[in-house]
Amino acid sequence: MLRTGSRDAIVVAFQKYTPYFLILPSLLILLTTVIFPLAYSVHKSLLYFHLFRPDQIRWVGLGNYFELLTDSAFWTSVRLSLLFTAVGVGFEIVIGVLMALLMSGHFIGSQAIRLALITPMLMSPVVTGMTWRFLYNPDNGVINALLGYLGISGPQWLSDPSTALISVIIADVWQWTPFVFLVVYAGLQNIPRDILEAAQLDGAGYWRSFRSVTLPMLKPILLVVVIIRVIDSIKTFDLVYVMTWGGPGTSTFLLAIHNWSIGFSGFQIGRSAAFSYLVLLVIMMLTTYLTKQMRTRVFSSQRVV
Amino acid sequence: MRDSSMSNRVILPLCRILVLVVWLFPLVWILLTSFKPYTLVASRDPAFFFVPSFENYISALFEYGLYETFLNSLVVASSTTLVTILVAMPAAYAVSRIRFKGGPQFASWVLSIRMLPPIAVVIPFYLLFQQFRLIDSVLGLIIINLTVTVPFAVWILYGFFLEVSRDIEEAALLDGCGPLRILLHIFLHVARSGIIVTAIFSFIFVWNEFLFALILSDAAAVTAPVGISKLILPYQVLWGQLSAAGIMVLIPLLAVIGFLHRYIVRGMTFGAVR
Repeated sequence: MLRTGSRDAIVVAFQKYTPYFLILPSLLILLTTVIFPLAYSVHKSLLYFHLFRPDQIRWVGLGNYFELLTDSAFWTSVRLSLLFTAVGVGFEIVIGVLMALLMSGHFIGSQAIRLALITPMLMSPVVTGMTWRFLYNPDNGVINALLGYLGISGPQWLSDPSTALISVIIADVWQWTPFVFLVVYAGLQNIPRDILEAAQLDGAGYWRSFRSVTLPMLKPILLVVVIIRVIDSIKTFDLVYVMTWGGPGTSTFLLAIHNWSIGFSGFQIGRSAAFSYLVLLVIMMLTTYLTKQMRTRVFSSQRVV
Repeated sequence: MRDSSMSNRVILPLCRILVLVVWLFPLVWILLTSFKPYTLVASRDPAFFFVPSFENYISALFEYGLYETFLNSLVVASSTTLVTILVAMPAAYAVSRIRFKGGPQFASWVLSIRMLPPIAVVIPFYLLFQQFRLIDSVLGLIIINLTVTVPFAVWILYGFFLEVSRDIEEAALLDGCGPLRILLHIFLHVARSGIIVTAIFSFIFVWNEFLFALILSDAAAVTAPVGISKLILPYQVLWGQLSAAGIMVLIPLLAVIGFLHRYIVRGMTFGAVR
């Protein structure tokens, strides 16, 4: 029989080494599947590496990075992606919050309606892109057909460089607003009733109490949602690949598709890797900026990840 | 909060129905299109009333190989989800309970991984898989999908596990329960909704994943989204089959969400957004 002292020692030893034992499989997976490609691609980003010219592989240091930073096409993509994200996520947040407010509460079919509204975010962006491409079709698309019934001559949507980007944004907003809706709706459920009732007793109308009570309490959740959406929005690939492939011209040549074109049309592996890290930098700067902006207006002691 | 005046009893429901109809219209349109015979699909005037037919579904499944792609998607998504949960649970437990270096920064670190464009990950894996002949294999797809799902799962589960009260744990520890048993019996039960939410999100991600599958599959391991993209022929788009395929790809996810939705709501309110 072990005496209490030794038993405690074993428990302590267990507690000391178990964490490492427990996270071992996870760590192994993370190491091979995250660290490896990271290290590999960082290394490749410092080389001239054309997939089909192995004899020309050479060290260029930060050469790839400089070439990209002085390439106007790169900055065009940066500008387009920032525009895409700002407009897209902006609309997603506003519409999502309004939708959550509209659909909160109990009414007939509320659960079914909420489930139905979530559907777009369950779709593969490939399917979403094709769906909207079908709707936008100048020849037999239903949007222009319906507009035609109203006597309006619809735009060329994806075929027109001046409307292509907004058309893609609409599809993206359509797909991801339900995500914002879902999260904000869940957040609304967490807001304690008594505070809202107290505000009402004090004479606050619906919108006033929303602005002063609900909104501040939603801020931490909104911050997380914005960050997640911004990160994913800059990475948007599937949608553009299927809808416009960067065109017409370069009107939808967002960062991800540009990177693809460098890596898989031009086979410039090194440049593509450098491109990826520049995009990473853009995302990091964006999220840092957004976090600072939104955090300074949150007076809660909640720890926000 | 709202009084049931005339405006609220009529305008609100009206608004709700309007939002629902407008938002779901694209989906409904695709659903309708999927049942249209070929001549109606490409017609100039949109048809709202017609005699439905299954020809698009059958064509998509058997003529254009989507049946195999669905099977592949199912295998890849289920396996990835299973492995993800098995691997992420112990890790999340360790990070949430035992203090060790880098614990609090863990969440930010995980988020940073998410910031890396997936294309940077694909190329190294492609070259690596070439060595091990894992190109165009289900196993290869599982492996590369794990790079995305595992960090995400650990992050989400970490948030949930933080919420689990320590009292039960400490009682169990004093009774001589090893951490593994604690994990299995206590956490699995208390954080059940969180685990289910994590599994659902992982499954949805892998099911809909496109880039990895596009590059790393060729003929044998083609998944549904890639199969669908192949319906875009050089000079023609097979809209009918595409609509049918789009609906078919959506149904399993709707079923999953439909059966498990109460876990999702409970999961999200329980602290998913931490």
